[in-house]
Amino acid sequence: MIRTIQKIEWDKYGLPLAFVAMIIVFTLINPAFFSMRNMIQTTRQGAILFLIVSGQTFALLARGIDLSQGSVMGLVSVATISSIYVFGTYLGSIVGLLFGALCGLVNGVLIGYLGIPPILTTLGMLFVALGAELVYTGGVTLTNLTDIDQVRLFWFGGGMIGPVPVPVVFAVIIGLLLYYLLKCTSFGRQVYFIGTNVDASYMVGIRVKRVIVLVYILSALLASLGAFFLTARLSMGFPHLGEAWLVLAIGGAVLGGTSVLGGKGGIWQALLGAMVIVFLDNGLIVSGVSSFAREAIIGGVIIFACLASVIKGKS
Amino acid sequence: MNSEDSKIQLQQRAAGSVNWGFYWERYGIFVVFIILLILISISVPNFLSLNNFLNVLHTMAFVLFVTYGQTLVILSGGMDLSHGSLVSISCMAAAALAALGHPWLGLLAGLSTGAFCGLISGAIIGIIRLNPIITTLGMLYIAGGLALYFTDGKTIVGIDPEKMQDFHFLAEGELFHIPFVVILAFVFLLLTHILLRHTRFGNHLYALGGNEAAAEISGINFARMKIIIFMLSGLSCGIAGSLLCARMLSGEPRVGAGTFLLESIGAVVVGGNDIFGGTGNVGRTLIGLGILHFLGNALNLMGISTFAQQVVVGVVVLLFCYIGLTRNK
Amino acid sequence: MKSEPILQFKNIIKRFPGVEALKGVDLEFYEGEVHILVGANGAGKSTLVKILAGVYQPDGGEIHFAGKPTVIRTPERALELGISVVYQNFNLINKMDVGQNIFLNREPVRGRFLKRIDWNRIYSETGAILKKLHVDIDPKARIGDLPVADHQVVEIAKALSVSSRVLVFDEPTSSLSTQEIDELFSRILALRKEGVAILYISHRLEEINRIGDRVTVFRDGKMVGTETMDKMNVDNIIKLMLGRDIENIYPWRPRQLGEEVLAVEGLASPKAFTDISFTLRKGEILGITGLLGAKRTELAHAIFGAFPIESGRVIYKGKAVNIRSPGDAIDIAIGLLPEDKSKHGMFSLLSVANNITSAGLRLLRGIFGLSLKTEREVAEEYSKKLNIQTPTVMTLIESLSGGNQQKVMLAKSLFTNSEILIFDEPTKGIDVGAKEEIYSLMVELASGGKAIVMISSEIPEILGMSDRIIVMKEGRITDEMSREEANQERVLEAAL
Repeated sequence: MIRTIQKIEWDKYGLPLAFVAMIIVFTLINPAFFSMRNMIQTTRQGAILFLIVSGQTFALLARGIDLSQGSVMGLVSVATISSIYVFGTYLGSIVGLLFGALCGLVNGVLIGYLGIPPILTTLGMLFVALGAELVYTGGVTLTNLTDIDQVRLFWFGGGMIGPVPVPVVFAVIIGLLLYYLLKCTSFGRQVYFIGTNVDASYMVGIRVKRVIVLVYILSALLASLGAFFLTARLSMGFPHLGEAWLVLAIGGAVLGGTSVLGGKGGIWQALLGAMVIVFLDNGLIVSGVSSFAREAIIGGVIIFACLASVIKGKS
Repeated sequence: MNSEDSKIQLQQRAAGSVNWGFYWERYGIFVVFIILLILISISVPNFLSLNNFLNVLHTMAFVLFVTYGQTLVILSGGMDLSHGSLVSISCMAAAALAALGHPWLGLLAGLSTGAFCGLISGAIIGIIRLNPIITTLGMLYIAGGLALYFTDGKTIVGIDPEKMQDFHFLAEGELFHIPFVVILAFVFLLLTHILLRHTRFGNHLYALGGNEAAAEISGINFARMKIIIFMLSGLSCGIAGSLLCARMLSGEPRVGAGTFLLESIGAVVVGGNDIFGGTGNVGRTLIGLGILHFLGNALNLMGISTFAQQVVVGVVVLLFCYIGLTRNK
Repeated sequence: MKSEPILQFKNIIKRFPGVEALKGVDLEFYEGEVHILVGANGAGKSTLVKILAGVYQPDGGEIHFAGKPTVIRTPERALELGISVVYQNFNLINKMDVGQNIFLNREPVRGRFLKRIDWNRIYSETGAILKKLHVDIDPKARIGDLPVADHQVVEIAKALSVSSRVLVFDEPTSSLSTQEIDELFSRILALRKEGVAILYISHRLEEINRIGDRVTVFRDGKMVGTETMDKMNVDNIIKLMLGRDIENIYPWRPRQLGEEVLAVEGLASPKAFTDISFTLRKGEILGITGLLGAKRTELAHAIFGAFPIESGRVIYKGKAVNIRSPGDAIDIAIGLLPEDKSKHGMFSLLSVANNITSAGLRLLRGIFGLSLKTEREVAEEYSKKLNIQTPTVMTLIESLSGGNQQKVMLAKSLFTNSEILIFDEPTKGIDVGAKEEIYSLMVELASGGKAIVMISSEIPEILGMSDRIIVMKEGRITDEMSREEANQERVLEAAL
């Protein structure tokens, strides 16, 4: 019996098994957990977290980190609503995303070309983005949308295509594209190389600086997409939108199996980590746990995941 | 490090030519601070009043405690991102006991809470060797969450000002027209300085920041040092939180969520301490915080909104981070 | 020299999982004597030092100190006995000053109520120790401001201030210039005069004549020969180290040389090298040698586009080329096997296949992006060709032995169809058997038309494998000779 347990590749199957177990337990506590409605809702949240975690995954794979994702999300939320007011729903949304990409570009250039450590750069960007959007909005939520725009926008965040929420559809398509990007393109492979050994990457002719810029643009852009869907659902520009999501993004990535030290991980890990966190959170809500205890529990799970990641990395 | 380069440097110094870089590194920030004060005094009319000065110092004093802790952590090669929440949770702990009628127990509770959280962070960083940034980020989140959970997000009130006069004095009282907190802050400044420069512990702290591997090979106990350092950092937040409670006579769960973190790191960096550790002292942190606060005060007097102030402060801190980094490459 | 050994190892055995590092070692060290330990990497020298320093415990045998059986259980105990080690990588804290470093974790304190550090005592005692070593260093100078050679002096001072009976130097000259090595040697000789027992570990045979009293050769965890210096010579030592004659090791054979593929004219880079000119023909093996500090690696990296060139030209197949990055070099079919594999060459967390294809990702492109199937096939092909011992091509490269890792590095350059291959210290840290394989591969590749540059500090290797030899010293070419003209004396003369 013990040998059978030892034979299981816990590294690979541990988390998915835990995920299934978790769902079973929550359903037993409260059958409403497994209702169609709840599942769809949670998957919607999961899709959004998945996008943000994927972005963080790119940064982590390149042996970096993106601490600015949270405030970039707030910035994009505000920028999107304001831009829609000027340009209309579709163009305005794209402009909003571009703001996010711009932040990523700045991050990437500072980290890739100027060599400033990612932790410091993105930490600085966190403060700068936060400050910028707070100055712009004065801390107030933006709600000045025309009715048409509001309806059009809401579809992205709250609408459905058949039985599936719109964000989930987008997340699936984007997820597949990202998976392909990481596994089957030069760029993706180069991200792994850089995360494993920057000097050696340079020596095999990889244009490290360029790749890093792209990595951080991707990270910010994916976080911006997440912000977009959240904003779309709220139909409001909420400056503090991303505050809670940063830790979830890093936690989700690490929980799923991406290493903080670079070179290990991927999109599948991002999906797994995001789903576990989202369903854990939802399960706790449905089970009646207070919001502040929930925060503490999820924080604890994330720290545990990081611990495990480091210990594994060191052995 | 090219041995040729350093030989040239040494030769230059021996030959008597002045190495301006050396003096700038050492005293530059002090000069910048004085110049800043002068510039502000010229451009802002109300700045030079004693009243204004004391006001700024009064506000600064609360944050100063937190910066002492951050100085210890950064000098030893780490960073403590949990400062915001630790202040909040300590304030709550103090307020809870104060509201029950035991202000001095509340003070003790506040200090212990901060120190305990720091102890946990230190243990994770020292024993398990998890990255300090990730650990303290997690602690930031957990402690912040707990602070909110404790009262479901509501402020603790019901502290009777009549009965708490002594307690309140800590934060708002004056001694010879100088706010008591300010005096307290300077006392702790001296204590921190003595700790860093004149004890074996302080020397070992610098060693850790300078070269962790070499320090360990010399027999310095990494785990023990990190635990004590982060405990002191947490304690410094505990002091700040308890004093805030004494000031407001209430427990606000989000009290630390503002600029405490930015200022604690910012003060250390702007003051000229090496962000990677190993070099610097707490006097520099004092100047760094002074620059940030007087700058903020000037902007205030000029009528600029608080949010804009935050942006300016953020940019200044970033700038100094960049300078600090490129200097040491 | 005393007649009783201060330190004796009797039949010391040390085992690690899967390997017996020390198989019954007998050694004696005397006060006032410099005892040199030589041996190839992995022969057991470092393990012995770690046992001496109290880091490892022997699994068998006895240690006798000053005639009495002793157990050195911890580093602190070693220091108590008076044994200290000056390691290869200096353990100094650059941001602190000399005095602080020397007294780190031993700071004297004074005062009754508050134990304050006695800085005065620290600096005065530091000054005294430095004076004893006849060196002019300010005790309050920051280590980071001192030249690297002075770091070593401070390390020695630190060791001496703690203990002074047995001093161990572990590969001390790896990062020193010629002049600094001279200073180190005179210091060691001075210490010897004072009666310190000195254990000096090195694999750089050219140095040991100058300071050794006694030489012990290690091979495969055993001592295979110990003699006083006058009875040993370099050839003997090599024979003992490798266990066989030199002639058989190098599979060199004459081959036909083709046209000139590479010409370097007047290449210069400030603070590195100047006036470098040489040519390289197809099928040729050009050896470049010199001592540490000759800047050979910098030259190699410069040709490869990884180090800046200020002036000069590189001509490839008759046309001047501008190589500004490794990508450019790879494009014109130059391949480099770097000296520091783990830093510049290997992606340790990735598989053998990933490493082999790392420089030529564009060659893997198919309709749907990178073809993982092609990657696997390519990897298996090279694995077979070069005899790379690995469970599968998907295995992580870090689990391979040094020799096999080097073969993967070679495969990487071959995959991009390199016609010019630069090997920088190709057999450093590799066991003897794998060395031979690499030599054979080099000769085979040359016979097949590749142009090879071999950089090495092992003179026997250079003499054994090269068709032509270039000697560099402090960034300049000091001599060039053909295989027939070359011999050890001529090479050493040009290098020193």
